[in-house]
Amino acid sequence: MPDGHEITELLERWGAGEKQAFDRLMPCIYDELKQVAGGYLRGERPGHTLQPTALVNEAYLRMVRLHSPKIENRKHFFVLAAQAMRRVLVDHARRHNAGKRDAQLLPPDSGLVIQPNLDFDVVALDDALNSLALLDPDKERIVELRYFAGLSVAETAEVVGRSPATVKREWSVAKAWLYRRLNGEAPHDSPSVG
Amino acid sequence: MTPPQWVEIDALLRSALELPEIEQDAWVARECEGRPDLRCEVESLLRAHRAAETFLEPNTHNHAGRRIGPYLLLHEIGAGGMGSVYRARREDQSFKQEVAVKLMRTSLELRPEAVRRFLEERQILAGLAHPNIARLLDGGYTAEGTPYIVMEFVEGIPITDYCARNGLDLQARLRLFLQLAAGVQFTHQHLVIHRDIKPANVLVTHDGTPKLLDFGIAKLLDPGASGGETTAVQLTPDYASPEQIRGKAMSTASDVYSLGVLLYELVAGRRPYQLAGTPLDQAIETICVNDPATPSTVSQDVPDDLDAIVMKAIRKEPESRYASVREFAEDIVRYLEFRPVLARQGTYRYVARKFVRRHRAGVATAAAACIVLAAAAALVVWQAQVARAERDRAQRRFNEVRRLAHSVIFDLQSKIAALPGSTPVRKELIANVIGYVDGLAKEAADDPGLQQELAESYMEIGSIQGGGNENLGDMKGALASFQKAERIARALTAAQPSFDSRKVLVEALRAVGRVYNQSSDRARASAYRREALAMARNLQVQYPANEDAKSLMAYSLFDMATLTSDFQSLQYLLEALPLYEELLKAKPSDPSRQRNAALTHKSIASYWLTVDYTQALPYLKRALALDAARLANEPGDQRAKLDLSVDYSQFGTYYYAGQDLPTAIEYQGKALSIRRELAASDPKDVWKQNRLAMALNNTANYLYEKDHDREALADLDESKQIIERLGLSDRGDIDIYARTLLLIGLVNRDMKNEKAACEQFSKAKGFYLSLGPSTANSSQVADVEKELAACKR
Repeated sequence: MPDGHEITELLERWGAGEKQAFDRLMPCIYDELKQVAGGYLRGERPGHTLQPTALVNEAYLRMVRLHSPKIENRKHFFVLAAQAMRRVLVDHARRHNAGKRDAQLLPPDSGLVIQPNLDFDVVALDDALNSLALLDPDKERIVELRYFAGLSVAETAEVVGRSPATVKREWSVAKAWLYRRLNGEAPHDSPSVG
Repeated sequence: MTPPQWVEIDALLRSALELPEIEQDAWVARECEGRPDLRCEVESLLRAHRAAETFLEPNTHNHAGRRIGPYLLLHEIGAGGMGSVYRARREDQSFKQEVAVKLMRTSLELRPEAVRRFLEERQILAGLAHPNIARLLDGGYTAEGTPYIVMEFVEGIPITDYCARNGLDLQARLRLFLQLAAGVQFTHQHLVIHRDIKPANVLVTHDGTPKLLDFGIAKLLDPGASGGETTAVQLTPDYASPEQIRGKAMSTASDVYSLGVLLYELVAGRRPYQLAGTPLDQAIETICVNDPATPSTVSQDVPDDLDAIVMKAIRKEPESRYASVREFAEDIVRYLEFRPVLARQGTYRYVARKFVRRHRAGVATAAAACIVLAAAAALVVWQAQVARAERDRAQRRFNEVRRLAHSVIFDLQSKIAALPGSTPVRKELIANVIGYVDGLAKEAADDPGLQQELAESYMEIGSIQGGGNENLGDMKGALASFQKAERIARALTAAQPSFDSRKVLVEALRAVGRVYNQSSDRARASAYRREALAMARNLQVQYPANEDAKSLMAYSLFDMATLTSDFQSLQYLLEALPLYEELLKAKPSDPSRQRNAALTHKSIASYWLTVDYTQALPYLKRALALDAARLANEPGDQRAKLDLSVDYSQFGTYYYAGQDLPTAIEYQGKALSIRRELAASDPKDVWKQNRLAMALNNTANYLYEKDHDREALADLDESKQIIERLGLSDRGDIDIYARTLLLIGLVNRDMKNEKAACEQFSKAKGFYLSLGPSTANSSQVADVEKELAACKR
């Protein structure tokens, strides 16, 4: 894994638009998240809720601790961590689903159970987000930060450099779009037009 | 849909969402006039928006109105990083109580090992009561697996607000702070670090008492806490010590730091660092590297001494701060009493070291000239440092030992005792633990809280050694431990007669009395028990509603009753019986209360069995019913089994007295089979062997009466061997042994072995006489005399 200075540098280069920096950073943040999650869940019986927010914060603190002096550019870290978290969850769900279909062929990660209160399929959410990204990549980013990294509206606003009011509206629209995509057409209300 | 279309839809939707919901549809209809496709799409997304309220949102439930265990959550009174707090009411048939219930946000903690630790830790915390800490009352997991904690409900405002609102002057602020410090010091004495001291956790009630909330809870919920490392996902950086914010091991020094920041704020009017809105990494740097301005530069009213005190408490290096909260508080007291404060003594060296660190190169040359002068001073400084390091180390070791001893005595012993065959392990453990506790007692002679705890520890050790049930049969060791407890409790009671110290003194007097009674020193036993009873009576008069006082009174009466078996003893038992029945009525399913009531009934029955057996029946029946119920509830309970065997044995005696030998033998047989089972489960347990011998003896007696001489003799031989193997360590043993010999003699005489019979009689007589005159065995002595007279003829 790159050391603290390198991480800082990579984050900056990525922030300046360098795609290769992203490719180097992503695996290490991904591993970090999985390690944190695994640390919590090793030996645990399955089926418990693990809050992605806690994991992302924990991963951040660990990286600060293990690789300080310090990680500059905290904003970039959270953008990355949100994407990494999304991948961890989706990969896990894929493996888990595959495991259910055929445990012999592809066993699920032992011990790793992350369920951000799912009443829907995280893989389906991932697909829907990909479609949304084609229309509106900003909204994809905001959903990642709010949902997968668990940032508040204010924190998200800080990271994406927009006003909290804007983030709130973007978030509402993105949610509506995704909800319709995952649940089909919402039922018509009983007529109450005022 | 194509991106250009989406841009339009998105814009319409965002504008619509700005409006009140009731106007949105009309607005959309207007905006999309003549463009049905667009309108349809926007309306569809609006509907989705309304349905998606909780979709993808973090779980923020309101739990008001919910019931958790016996607690009804009334309304939310606060929410923080760790979870939300509800004002709640406990509703039992017996009492109502306002409490605060904290529901944790995390459910990361559900590993079995973590759950166990959470519950154990909660148990320790729940035992801590101090006027300046909000007591932890209960805790557990909800049906969904969310950990929750129940605390004393404190109605108050944060200490900083309280000082401002009431315009407290510096003196008053310091006195308030000292009360808080006493609370923190108390938790430290019990090995609990708070870890999150901040104004929001220090509420001052309307009568001006500061109360510390949430102590120990940070650790309770910290998955890494057992290893000393913390995972500080949630913390309040303004009050966090450098070691805490770096995630290093925390200690009592970390609480000293947070208290220091709080004191800074109380005297200067603001915190040492302004961290609001600072990113975490910057906060870390500020806290770990930057030196804050002294309080006096912020507020000119702050005197130099107080400056020094605050700055000493918030030094970066834990070892440079006050060694304990007590030392911190004492320095404030020194300031209030116009005495020189300790904080300023080290100042020169502290400043010098800082200076050297900043100007290493320049100092090197200048220093060369000063070396000769400095050498002498350095030696003194160095020695002082060594002393402090020693003391810190000693303090740490002391705390470790204390915790270890506590867990061995109170947790481990009872857990192991339940396992069959565990006697040797327990003996070794207790021998080790006595060494530790003796060491603790020596080191902390001036700490009443700890002395109280030590007295309680010695009591527990004594009962494991030889006082209690399931004990190790070491009566000498038990006596020594009980006497240590007695000495400590007497000193505590003389200095400050609190309920707790008086309670432990009564317990110690009773325990010493019991050991003397078992070793036939009746004069001493009686003196101790009389004193215990007198003290218990006083306590009960003073605290008539207190259950502990009631129990102590009942126990002490019972103790007096066991000194004799005459009419006087019946009076004590009849006074104790209603107390025991009241205690049982308050908690009908409490096994130890069931047992105590049953024992009292048994003892009364036992009196009547020797005087007028027909009176014994109601007491026997009640005792049997209570013991049988207790065993049915806990079928593995060895003590309940033993108690039940006593009931059977008493019924045997009852039928024997009523001359119904077959029924007597049947009951005695039931008793004997239980005792055989118990004795076989732990062959090294003295008490169980002893009880088996007793049962064998009784059975043999009935068999002999029924002329089953051979069977009687077999039981008697077994009984004799058991007693000889165990040794005769108290009156009870001698009594059983003498009775066994007498019975062996009688059976032998029946079988025409006259010589063997007479040998046994004369031995039995010797043992009986060694017990001294007593009404309890006078009839047996008479029996032996009679049989011996026949020998001489």
